[in-house]
Amino acid sequence: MNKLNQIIILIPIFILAFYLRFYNLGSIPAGLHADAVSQAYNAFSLLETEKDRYGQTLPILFRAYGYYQPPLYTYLTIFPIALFGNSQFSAHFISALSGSLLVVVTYLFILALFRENQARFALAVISATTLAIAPWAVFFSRLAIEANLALLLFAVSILCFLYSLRKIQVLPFAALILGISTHAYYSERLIAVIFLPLFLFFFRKNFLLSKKWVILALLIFAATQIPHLMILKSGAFAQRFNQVSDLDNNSGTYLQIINISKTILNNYFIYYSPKNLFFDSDSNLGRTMPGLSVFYNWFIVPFFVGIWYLLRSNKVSLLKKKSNEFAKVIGLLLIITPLPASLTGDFFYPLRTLDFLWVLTLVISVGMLQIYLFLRFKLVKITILSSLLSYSFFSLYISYFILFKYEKAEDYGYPYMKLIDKLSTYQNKKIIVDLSRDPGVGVRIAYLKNFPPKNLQDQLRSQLETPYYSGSPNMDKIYEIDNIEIKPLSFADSCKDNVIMVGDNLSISPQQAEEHALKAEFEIHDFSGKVALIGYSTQPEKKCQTTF
Amino acid sequence: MLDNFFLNGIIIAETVLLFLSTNSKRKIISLLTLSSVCILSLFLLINYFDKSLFTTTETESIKIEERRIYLNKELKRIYGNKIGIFYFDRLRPFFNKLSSNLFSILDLTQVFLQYPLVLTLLAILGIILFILDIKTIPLIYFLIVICTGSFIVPKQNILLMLPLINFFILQGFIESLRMAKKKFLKV
Repeated sequence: MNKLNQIIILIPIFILAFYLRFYNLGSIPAGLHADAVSQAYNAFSLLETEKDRYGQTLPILFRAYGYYQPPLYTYLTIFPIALFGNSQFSAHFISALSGSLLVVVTYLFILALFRENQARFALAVISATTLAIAPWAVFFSRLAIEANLALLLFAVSILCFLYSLRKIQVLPFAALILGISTHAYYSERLIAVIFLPLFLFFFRKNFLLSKKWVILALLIFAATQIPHLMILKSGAFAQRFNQVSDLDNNSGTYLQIINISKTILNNYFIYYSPKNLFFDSDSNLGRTMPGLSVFYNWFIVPFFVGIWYLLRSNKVSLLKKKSNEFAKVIGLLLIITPLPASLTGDFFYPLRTLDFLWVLTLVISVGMLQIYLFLRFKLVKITILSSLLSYSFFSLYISYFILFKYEKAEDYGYPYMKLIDKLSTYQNKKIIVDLSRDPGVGVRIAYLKNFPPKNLQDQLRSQLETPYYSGSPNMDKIYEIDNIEIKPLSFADSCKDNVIMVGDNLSISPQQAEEHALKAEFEIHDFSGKVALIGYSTQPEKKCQTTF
Repeated sequence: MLDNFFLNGIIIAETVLLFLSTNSKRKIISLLTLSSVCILSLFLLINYFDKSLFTTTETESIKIEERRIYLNKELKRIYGNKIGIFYFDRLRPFFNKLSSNLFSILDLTQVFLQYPLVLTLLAILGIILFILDIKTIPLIYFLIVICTGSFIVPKQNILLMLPLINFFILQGFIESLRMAKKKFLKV
């Protein structure tokens, strides 16, 4: 197939991917997650002052709420913020763009992997389409997820590594991209360090004759790791791993080692469990949307067929021509990509294993092609294909664009975004917003109100209890944004005049409101119509009379 | 007590039969293997049939009611007709429960938790060997387990998988012995 035809085929797939990732990105998900808003405000702050919100110049890791965020996503978010301003769309832009571009990279990846196979174009089209509509890919591309950017970089680097098998000069560039990916997400740090030597070992015949390029590639990769080394002893480098890992540091006895091995192995196989991959629809940020898992449930059939092909790729298969590169590269990726997530204590956390889900999507695509080739009649093929595609779109629309929007708005701080509009009518009053329910409230309000970064830096820098790169960064900060103060709620404030206290039903219960003589001023409803926040004005004359 | 005795007995018998069926061409073995899985399935269906497939709990009703509002608001006529309501309120929850049961059988991590580490590794080796060289009787066994297990309450339906897992462990053990023997003889 010539290049023009390839582009003609690829364009509609890319448009589909782009549409599913950018459609209503400014309003779905309804809100901005605390992590997303931390990155977005830091990007805004860097754009204005070259410092993050704590006043740190060009950080290697960004201090957030009690942990550190990898830097690349934040630095890249400077561009959409400069172009589109402080909005939900800007915060999610890089992830959505990464998810769209990944479809093109996947297409090229399959072409490179099956370069001698006649069915490679069909497989590349199937893989790109499957990725374009895969629930996990759409879901995570529409959130400000560093892992999504890391996945794009990782996929580009793997593609370049494949190209380097034919053209050795590409190898240093592949190593560079792989090294950069370690600054995009934590999982990549481990995956890259394992992948690079194993890839070189598996294809040593290709590389032995060009040792200088291999050495150059290794040096470039090592150079990209210098920022990690600079903060290696600070505590910040391994802080996130220590937070999420469930490995016991004091372990040493034989039995403890066996127990840890079993825990890791079990955590590892959790990622291969069909129940988690194709059914479990427990939705939260780290998982996926209501009613859908990371894949559509019908993907289980091509998944098994794809695995069967992978294990038999050196034997007879419907794809006729064997592909050892496929077995080596995909096999290697399938083994190493779930490793970082299996070292953590969380049960099935797809967010940490997007690389693995991408590889599984390729395996599923191989299975789909085999089933497609197995079916004899064109009418049967078209009927099955169109039915499954329609079902997939329908499920995705219902789960993400309807149910997710309504059921998860509260998790993404939607009520606080509505609160900003409401508070504009209370300019002459002091507003106190409860911080204890969501650590991102202060940054969210600062971001959406375009609060000058210099002012926020002055406030937050003085509240740092530990060095910027510390192993145990403190969480609670008090924010003062114009007339709004964001802090853990205290009923001592109910004695102050001209104050409005805002919190949810747990922060201020109706009984507490009565006890402290608070008068309900307004209610903020979430997307589903439930009361999410209540604003109470203080009545010190009544309250103080009752108290004293 | 009697039930436990029966279950243990039939699981052991099925493990042996599965192993024999792959090594013997005698039809009676295959017939016995498939009959025994049918008996076990029937026993579990009678005693542990998942009645919740056809009923809704209070929590589920609340969820359906909430979603009814969202879907009505967004889909309007597509939802607000007899077919739409039947699909979203009845059919979809039923299929969700059914697939939940189905996928819980395939969730081998549940089973692996009950086995020592070495046996888990042998089972994985056995599964890989099985995929490389699919045998008819274990495959039919697996399909029967999937079909009937979907109607049995989770945690009990996993019992149907145990003979198959034992079979994989055995296959893995034999293969590892063969590999060790090969290496030992070479030395």
